[in-house]
Amino acid sequence: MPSLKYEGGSVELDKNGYLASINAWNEAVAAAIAKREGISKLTEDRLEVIKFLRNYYIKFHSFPLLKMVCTNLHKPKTCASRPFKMDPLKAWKVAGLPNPGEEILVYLQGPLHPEE
Amino acid sequence: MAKVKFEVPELTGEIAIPGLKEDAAAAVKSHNAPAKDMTDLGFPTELVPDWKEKAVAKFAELLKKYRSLKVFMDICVKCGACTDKCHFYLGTKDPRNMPVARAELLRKVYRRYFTTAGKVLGKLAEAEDLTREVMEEWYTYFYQCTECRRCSLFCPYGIDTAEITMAAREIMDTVGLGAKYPLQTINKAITIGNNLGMPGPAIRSTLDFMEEDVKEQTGVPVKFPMDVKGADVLLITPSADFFATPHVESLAGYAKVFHQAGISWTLSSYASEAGNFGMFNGNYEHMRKIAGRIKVAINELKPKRLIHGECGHAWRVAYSFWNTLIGPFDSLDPKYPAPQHICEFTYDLINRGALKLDKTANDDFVVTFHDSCNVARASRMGNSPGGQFEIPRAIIRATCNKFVDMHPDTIREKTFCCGAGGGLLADEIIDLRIKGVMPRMQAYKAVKDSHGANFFALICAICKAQFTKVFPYYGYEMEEVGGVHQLVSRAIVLGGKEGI
Repeated sequence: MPSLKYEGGSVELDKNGYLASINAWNEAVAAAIAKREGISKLTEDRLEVIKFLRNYYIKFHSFPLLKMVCTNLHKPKTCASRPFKMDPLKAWKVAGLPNPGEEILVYLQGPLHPEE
Repeated sequence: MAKVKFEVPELTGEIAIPGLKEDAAAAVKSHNAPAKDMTDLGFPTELVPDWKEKAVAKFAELLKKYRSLKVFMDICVKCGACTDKCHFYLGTKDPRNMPVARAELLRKVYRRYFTTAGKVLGKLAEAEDLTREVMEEWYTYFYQCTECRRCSLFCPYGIDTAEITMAAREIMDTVGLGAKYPLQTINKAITIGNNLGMPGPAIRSTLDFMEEDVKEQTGVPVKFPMDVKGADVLLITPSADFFATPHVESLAGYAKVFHQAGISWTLSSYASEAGNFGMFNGNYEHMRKIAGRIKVAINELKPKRLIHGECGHAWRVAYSFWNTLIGPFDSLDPKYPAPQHICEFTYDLINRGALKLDKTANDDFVVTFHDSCNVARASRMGNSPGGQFEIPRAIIRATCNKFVDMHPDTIREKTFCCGAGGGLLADEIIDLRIKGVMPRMQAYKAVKDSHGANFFALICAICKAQFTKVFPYYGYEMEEVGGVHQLVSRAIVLGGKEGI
């Protein structure tokens, strides 16, 4: 299992780059995963999305409807198709959540979400 | 705009038959299934040592079980009528994606082990040993078939090529060679109840959100009920309707239609999936397990009617297989078809004047309709032949002022596949998906040029996912893709005329 160094220690990732233990997450870990995923800066906007995904997962064990993310964070409606100028799957990884499974991946992977 | 990483076919508005390019798609392979999913589904985790004997034995079993498979192995005369009918051949130019050539990968092994000429004469009788290389070819090309059955339509013998693909996949699964996307999806559907792996509370939270969203937009408290015992209608719909865009807009459409009709309805958290990928891999037991959840939901919720949402292959399973998988539906009201497609339901209400639709709500759109292959060629709707073509179009015409059909050779029973059905929606084969959708994109481009088409209406969850993904590669906006009930959702006038 690859490990990832962050400011304050190191954490384990699975072979696809998802945090091995959901409880090992903090904002410094998030910053390190973000860097690994090619996201240069975790802006406030992005952190807000990441925390929403994380809280939703802890409560429901699922990826939320993207439209729900937008509405809850008071983003514009277009957010549903091109959410938060950030690949939702990367946001999910940065949030320290486990591999969401093949069917979720096929719905969210693709060219629609600019990486930066 | 999206980054274009792949060679995207040029859009001319016409479908040209390409010259052959040997092995053009030979490197495109679906990922292998992880050990966990293989084990859970009762398959070996990797190729077993005696794989050849096991594969031949499984082949023999399938030939005995499905007389049709044996007939399809025997009767092809290689007339070539199917060669230029496959979207994957037209898109990739790879000759082994000609349906007859793809099927030949299995037929040559069939001849070697199951015909006298093949056993005695070997290659002289066009027979070939099952080797590791042959098995690799199977894995490559039988996962480059979406089981859309367009080739079968043009076959003078009516050979169902999808059945050949299903058999090959079932043999490979049995010896430990499985594909990740379809098998992991089957496993999720069996264990959690839907392809996306969404637990009941997550679905409920989506439905709560949709109730608020519709209320905010319309001012009307449209309900999205789940697990309600004694509701008139149990709606079985693909789980993508609870998660993906634009799918969820059709879910809003269904809810508004039920609301306006004054008919009580419910979803089930236990049977939260219409899709049944068991069919794609030819595994009847998986199909039965996935569909079995619906039987449990019927027994628990005791609905009078069973209605099915917008999903292509799922409608084939529902229409053609549910009765033997989980029927008979004795507890349902015999006055209604079981199952009934949501389009039949809405169409009936429109005909009876029970819905008020404001076509001007869709005046921004010039709508065209893509017939999904499993609806078009493997099922029906309503009481008359061709209902599966007429009913969705009639609904669209009732919800908008501007509708145009694509070229007649690309619609109705001759429709082209979206390029990602049959368990091929996986990201690692996006290159194949982009090429496979080419014929459909040419037909769409033509009605864009001639009529300004800008809304691509669908009744299939996989089609919706595929087109939203590939449109940007061709320079079109993903927002042009939507559901038929998305149009209904926009046009329906709530309130005013309640009940029927």
